[in-house]
Amino acid sequence: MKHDRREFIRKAGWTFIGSGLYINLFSVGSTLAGPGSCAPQNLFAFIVDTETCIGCGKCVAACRTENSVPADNFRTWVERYTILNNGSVEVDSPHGGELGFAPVSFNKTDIQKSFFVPKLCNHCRKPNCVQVCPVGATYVSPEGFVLVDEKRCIGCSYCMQACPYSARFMNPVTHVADKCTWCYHRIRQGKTAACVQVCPVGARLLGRVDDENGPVARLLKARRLQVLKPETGNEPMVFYIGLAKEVH
Amino acid sequence: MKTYDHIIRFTLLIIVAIIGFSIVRAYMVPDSFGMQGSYTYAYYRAESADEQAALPPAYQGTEHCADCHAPQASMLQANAHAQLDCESCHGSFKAHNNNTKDRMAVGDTVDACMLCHADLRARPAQFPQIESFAAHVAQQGDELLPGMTCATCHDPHAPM
Repeated sequence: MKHDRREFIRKAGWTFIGSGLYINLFSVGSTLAGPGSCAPQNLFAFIVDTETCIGCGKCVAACRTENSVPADNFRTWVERYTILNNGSVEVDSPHGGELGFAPVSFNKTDIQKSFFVPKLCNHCRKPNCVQVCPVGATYVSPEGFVLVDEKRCIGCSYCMQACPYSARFMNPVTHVADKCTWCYHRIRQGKTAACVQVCPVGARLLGRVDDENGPVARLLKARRLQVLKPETGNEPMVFYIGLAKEVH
Repeated sequence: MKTYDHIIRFTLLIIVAIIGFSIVRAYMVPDSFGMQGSYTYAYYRAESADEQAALPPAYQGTEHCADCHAPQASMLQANAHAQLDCESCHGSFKAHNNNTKDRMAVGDTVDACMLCHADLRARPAQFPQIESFAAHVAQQGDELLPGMTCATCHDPHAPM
């Protein structure tokens, strides 16, 4: 068989036209890109007020009961930051704060400031944990909740390593990845999250961002809010009031 | 003379492999699994979200408790503890519903109250806090008697 340049260019041309027709006629292009390639919408945001939190740990206890969280694991927990006059930052969270906090052992005069920081899954706009899952077991729901399908999870714990907030753990009972769901089941049933409901000082708030008259949408507009580790690019959806620069 | 047997055999083998793979895949992949808007963030089993949404809630809220305990609920909502929910102190409704004889006591009221009202540097300064139960009783000019708890002077539903 004789190969020449003219023949090669002619065949390449037909191949190009043919594959172009195939992609357009059979709508393969839109399948490759997805319908509009739209990511799920983040319809909800969580607001934590570190200026009113009293560190009673009722949120941690309620979360455990509501979601059957095994002992020594936490979907939410409360950290106490104690910043001393010499600049050192002490963080403690005994039992995740579930049993409350004992007074710190530092001299009163050595303490510059001290406060509680409740933590939970940030249900990020661009969650790393979802991107790394090799089996499609963790995903962003249509409402923007980051959830785990425990029937599909194979327990590889990639997501635990990917999460910059250490929000995930391996459930010792189900042996799959577990994390805060922002009480997805309660939200879908018209309730608020268990931790939000029991908080005695209203330091936690979960609500829609598109509800103009809702408390969350109003706070997002009116207050100066911070997020944890913005530099990771995950675009977290838990916003903090009064977060100090020492908090990480 | 040319023979095409090897090509035919190979093609048949490939066809059998593709059919076998398709059958196994049809059994292994759940019906609702696939892309739900984005390969990166929403490639999952769609039924999973609805399954999770159907989980029964344990905490029901004060309105639910008020069905049977209206006096306590309205007292709570009219006083300094108005921001509290019944279940903040008493625990989840679910536990109570399984055993309605369980009085849902909060235990030793001193410990229960001190969970929020113990004096801690990390608490907001304007939040009411006491150093210890004994110190608070002394500060009020009262005598510390055996069996005395916070509830001796304060009704937890209407503390002030």
